[in-house]
Amino acid sequence: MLGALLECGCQKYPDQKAIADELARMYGAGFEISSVRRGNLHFLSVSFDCVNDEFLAEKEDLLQAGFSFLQEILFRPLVSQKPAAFVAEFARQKRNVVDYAGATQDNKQLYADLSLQKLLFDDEKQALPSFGNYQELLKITASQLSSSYQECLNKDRIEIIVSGDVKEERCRQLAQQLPFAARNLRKEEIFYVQEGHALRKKEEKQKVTQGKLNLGFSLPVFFADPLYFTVLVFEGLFGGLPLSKLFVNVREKAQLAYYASSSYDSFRGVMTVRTGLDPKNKEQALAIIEAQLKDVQAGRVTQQEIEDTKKSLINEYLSGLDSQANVMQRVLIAILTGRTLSTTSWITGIQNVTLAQIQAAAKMTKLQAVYFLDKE
Amino acid sequence: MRTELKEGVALTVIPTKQFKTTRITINLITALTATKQLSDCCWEHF
Repeated sequence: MLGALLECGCQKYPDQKAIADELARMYGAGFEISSVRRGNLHFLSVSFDCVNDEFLAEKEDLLQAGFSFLQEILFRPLVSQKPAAFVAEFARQKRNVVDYAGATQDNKQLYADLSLQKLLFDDEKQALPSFGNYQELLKITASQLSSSYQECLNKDRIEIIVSGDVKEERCRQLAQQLPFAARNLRKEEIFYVQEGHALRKKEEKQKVTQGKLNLGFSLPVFFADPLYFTVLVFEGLFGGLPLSKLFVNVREKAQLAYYASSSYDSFRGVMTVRTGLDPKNKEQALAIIEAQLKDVQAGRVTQQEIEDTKKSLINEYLSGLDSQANVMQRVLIAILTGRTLSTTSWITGIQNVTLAQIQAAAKMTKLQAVYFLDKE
Repeated sequence: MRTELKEGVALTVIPTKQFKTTRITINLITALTATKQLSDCCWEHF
């Protein structure tokens, strides 16, 4: 809700049109706010981007203009006015966010993902959806939100990142003008480590045409751990890529699922599998998913499959370097984890993964949760 | 290059000519907390 409110206006630019006008005046600059959870940490990220000054016909300091704009957004927001002054905007944004949260009921793929998450994690901070909870959203008041925002501004860890054809000293001068107060930080661990537990199963019936079968595995390897690259290759081979065993064998060959894929969360040490299927195929799909995992564990993987997976992962990584936002994200992760992976070390790390290592990574997976959404 | 501007407030500059744009991101980062209230809340909506 904070992100939504900050994005829709501040005291100087009180609505989205005023913001859009100001961005247009800055030669079509961009502005966005996102919030995301990674492991144990929550990020509220406020971004501004603009064309580099050297491409402007008239000389203008857009770097300074960008910092000034962000200062207005963060330090003179509508949120900090007396509740009465922003109560209408608060009500509108609250309605939007609550509607979004409520709509997850209708998005069955997301519903199944969140249900598996709830089943898989013991810690409620991990079990809850990252966007919060419908019931709690309903209770939020304008003054609570205002207090929460002040707490964020005064107590959160602040990491400012600037990328572009810029001078470091100039950036430092401008960043120092942002009125952030010094703050005491506790050392916070980004990685969430969960002890294993017995297999948990849950089935639900709803009025759906397509069933959802989601599996959660523990895979206790974290970002930039010694086995990190091995896990990336294993997971890509198993279900993370379009040429993976899950996609080819479960979806294409056996035609048991409308979609079948896996994903790996390197901040929580888990791998999840998601499928959409005809509910009557559930047991057969479960068996064939398990068979794919056993095949990798037993080394029944061709050298071609491994090479294709490595090429896909490397291509994906390299294309990510073309995105400025992505490069900045990687730098932020390196800062927070204290683990830096250069492009060379990343590519070499992937290339050096062997079949024996992939088998070992596959054997580290442990099925922890099975969620099935059936039709009534 | 990362410099601490104040305690708990840091700036990292990535000088590059690779992009035609300049991008500034301010990240407010906090450890997740949950309350008893949250654990008691209704899950039927999710």
